[in-house]
Amino acid sequence: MSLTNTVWTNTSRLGNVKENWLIHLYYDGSTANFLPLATHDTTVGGVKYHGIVKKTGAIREAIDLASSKALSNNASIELMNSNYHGVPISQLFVFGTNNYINNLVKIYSQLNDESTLANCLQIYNGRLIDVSHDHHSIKMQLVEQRPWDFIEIPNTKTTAGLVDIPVSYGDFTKNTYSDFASPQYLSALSAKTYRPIPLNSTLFNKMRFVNGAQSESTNGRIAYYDKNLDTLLPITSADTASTTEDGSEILAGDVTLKRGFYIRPTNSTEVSTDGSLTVADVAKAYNTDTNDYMSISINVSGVDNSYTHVERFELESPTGDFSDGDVYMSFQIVWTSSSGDLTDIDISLDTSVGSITDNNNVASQAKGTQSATMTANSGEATLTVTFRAGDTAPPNLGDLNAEVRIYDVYFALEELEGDDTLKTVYTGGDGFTFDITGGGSAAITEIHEAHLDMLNRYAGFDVATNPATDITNWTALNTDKNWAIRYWLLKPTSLKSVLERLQYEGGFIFKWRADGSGAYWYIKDSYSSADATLLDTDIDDLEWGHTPVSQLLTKMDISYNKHPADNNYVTAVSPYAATTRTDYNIQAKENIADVKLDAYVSPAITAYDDSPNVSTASANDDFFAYYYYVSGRVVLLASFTLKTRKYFNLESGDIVLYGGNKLPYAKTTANMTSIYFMITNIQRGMGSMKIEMRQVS
Amino acid sequence: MSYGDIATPRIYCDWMNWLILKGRMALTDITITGGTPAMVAGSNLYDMFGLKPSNLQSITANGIATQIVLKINTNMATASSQETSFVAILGHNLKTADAKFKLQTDNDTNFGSAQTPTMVEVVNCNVGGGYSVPLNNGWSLFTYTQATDNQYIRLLIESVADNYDTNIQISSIMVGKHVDMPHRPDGNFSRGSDISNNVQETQGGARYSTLDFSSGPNWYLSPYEIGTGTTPSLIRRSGRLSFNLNFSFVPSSSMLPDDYTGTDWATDDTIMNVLEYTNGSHFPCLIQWDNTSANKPMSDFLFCRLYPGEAVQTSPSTWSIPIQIEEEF
Repeated sequence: MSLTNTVWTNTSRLGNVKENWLIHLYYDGSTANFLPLATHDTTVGGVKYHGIVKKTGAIREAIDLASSKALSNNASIELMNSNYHGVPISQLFVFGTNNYINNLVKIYSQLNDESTLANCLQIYNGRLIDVSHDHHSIKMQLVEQRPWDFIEIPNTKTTAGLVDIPVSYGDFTKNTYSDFASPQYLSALSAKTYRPIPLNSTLFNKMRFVNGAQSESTNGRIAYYDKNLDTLLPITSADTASTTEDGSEILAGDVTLKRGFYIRPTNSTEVSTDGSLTVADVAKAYNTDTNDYMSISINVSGVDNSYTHVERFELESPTGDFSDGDVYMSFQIVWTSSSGDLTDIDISLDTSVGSITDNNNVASQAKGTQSATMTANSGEATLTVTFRAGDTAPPNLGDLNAEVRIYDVYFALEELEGDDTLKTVYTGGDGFTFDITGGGSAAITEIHEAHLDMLNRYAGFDVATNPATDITNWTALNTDKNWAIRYWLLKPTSLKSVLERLQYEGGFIFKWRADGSGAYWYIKDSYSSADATLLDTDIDDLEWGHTPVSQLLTKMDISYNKHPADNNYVTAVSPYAATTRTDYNIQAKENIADVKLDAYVSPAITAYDDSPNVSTASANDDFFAYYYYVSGRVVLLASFTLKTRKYFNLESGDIVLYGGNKLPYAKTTANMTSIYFMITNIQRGMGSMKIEMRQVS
Repeated sequence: MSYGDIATPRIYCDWMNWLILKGRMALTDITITGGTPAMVAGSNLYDMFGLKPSNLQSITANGIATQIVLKINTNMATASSQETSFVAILGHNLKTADAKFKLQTDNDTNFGSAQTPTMVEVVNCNVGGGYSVPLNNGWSLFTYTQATDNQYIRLLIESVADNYDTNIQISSIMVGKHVDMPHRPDGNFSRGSDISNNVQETQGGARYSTLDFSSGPNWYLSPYEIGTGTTPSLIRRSGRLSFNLNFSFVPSSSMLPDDYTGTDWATDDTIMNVLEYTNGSHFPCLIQWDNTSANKPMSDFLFCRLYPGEAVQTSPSTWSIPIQIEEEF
């Protein structure tokens, strides 16, 4: 992208130019009032700059692709402690009339005595953090602005409850509503796309939970996490919309936290049976297919006997206290033939706290569902089917050829809170929407969007028009990255660490540019042009290297899709870079990282192996693919000193090609035309720049 | 000149960079018009004034006959102070592009009363009919005299017949003033040729050399080469030439301007004028080793930087000054 200043760039093309660094030392929080200093006396825009800068240390800026972090840009300058307005200039900076410490510092490159500041290239934007001096000279340390320092989020609490107001980002989705009157099967309540919200109060017999600073209009209905069932159960008649109270947005539900649902057995045990019976497909009595069935059949003739099969269906025990319950059974009798007036079939499903009974069946019965009320949750239901054949008339013998089909056994349960210590429920309400100027009110669904909103919401970073116009690479990043987020914070956490986590999980780097504006950098899927093609006549001290084996990361055990309730993850995958591991002799148990992603939701991370091989993926296909291009393969590294001034506007993150003849390793000139490098480290001095770069294509 | 002899040198000093450095000119005082766009994508007008003869830039010309106007406002409003006297085009394909050019000056930005100074060929100009029609690619150099009506300078590039045959490529344009040294340097000068190689020796006594560079990069053809080809045909000379010259017995009038007024800096022809225009070693310049001979373009010229030593007055009104000269790539 390079720093842009048309006049400066054009002048730099002359090659042999005069350079002067202008230093603005701002004071008292002003962005207008500054002390003008320079490496030699000059006048720019009517402002006289005092040429007392004795030494300018290199301005350093760097990015680390492996951790997706930008390192703090820092610089140092040394001034002569000369008189300024009659007093030693050292008297100005500390304990003087004005405060310079922690105030803005800008450095500009002035070429050929340019007299307009707008035509000078700003090469640094930071803050003055330290001043030391002796009788002769003054040393100043500068660092880039770090508005995230010492900030923790969440940073607000409810007014009376003093509960941290959660921070949340992403597209959350609640389960279909379910209660005892209109229950849903657990299989339909499988969504884990919730986020936790904390209890604030229990006023007016309602438990009131803090949704966040954002309001919710439709999807707020809170859910109870049943850890036994690993299911988020909608709470009966809870609010769908938030209300503003106690300094936050609140979602409330009845203090009993009732939840109703259908539950099927998950296991069965044969208690007893008769060898004359044929029993098949027991599990089909409680699978989710209501069209298949468990079969119990008999075909006997000339007998006077009864034949019984007893099967116990067992179900998971929900957490909480029983409130209400019904047991259901859907069954059919297929009566093929029979004789004898004592021949019949008895069917019962007994829970010990309520039972279904259908006895003395003597003919076919169409598929139907019967139910019974339960007074408690027994945790099981026992099916008893008894076939009888016989006759009251001697010889008392009868025949029976029939089948009982059990299509479905299930329960409707309603549970109460049962947990007086409960402090957290879950909501499917979405996280924040954009707050930044020009961001619109669109929902924030992707990781980089959340990152920008945090910078804006908590660190005060804003733009003049909109992110696309004012933030370098925002549009490209927004196009190339569709990495979705679901993320929440309930307890104060360092904003810096959160921002860096999002950068790592989102595969991008935010950094301040030398002109003080913000920029996002990332490895693109492909490159077709570079910010500069550097020749041997542009550089010196060229040294080639490659990714050291110690920095290779070729396999990850990745857990992502964070579970809202149990501090675990919904999805796990173990992709690896097959070619790299083979080529570089990495053994099966070597070079494996355990990676846990708290924010990353999608794209689903492919389980790369030999097929598909991650080398065929594009960098932004998913998390593993991105970091494969960063550290999952051996790539070229280079360092050199740049001496052609027209490229001095390069910055870290810029893309360059090498067009010289001092080729690395076995690479050919033709190879190098498609090997793009990203600048990862710059030390900017007057007249030269030391650069490190890394292959990214 | 032959065999590296040095007679009275003539030094061609670029004024564009000098005037820009001094704040008299701005980059925007240099413009180009012609095809659309005037410069081919990836090329830049100002690169052509960067004094880098290997830095080829492309001007839109292929298949069109549009006149290309390269215009310079020297901002030297007093005619007598604007003393540019040569134009050098280092690295070009004007022959292959089937292009010709001429020089005009005027005090009117619109060239309402354009002056057309006579171009005197030094290298590869083939002046005739008011135009220079280079017979070769490579580089060209001509001198001229235009003492008045000369604040604005423009180089008009036109096709010789019909359309240009290809885009015009030019590396570096020097527009400036040439100054003759008062006489030849002292006879006992030194000449070197730096070849940037690193010879390493093994414990067993074997030696290996690694070469960083052998020669200066090509201009359009080889450095200083002129010819009709489109690729270099001559073997490039190895090494970076350097000379340690000393000019003794220089009279004050050839050493320093009469007065340090702006006019004197522009109009005088002293050694200090040369060092003013080049800012010592800051700007490269072109040296012609014999101000009367230019028939061997490969050896009669050197694009170089001047590293002046301390001038010493050896007797009243007589000076001695050492100047180190290093070839510039």
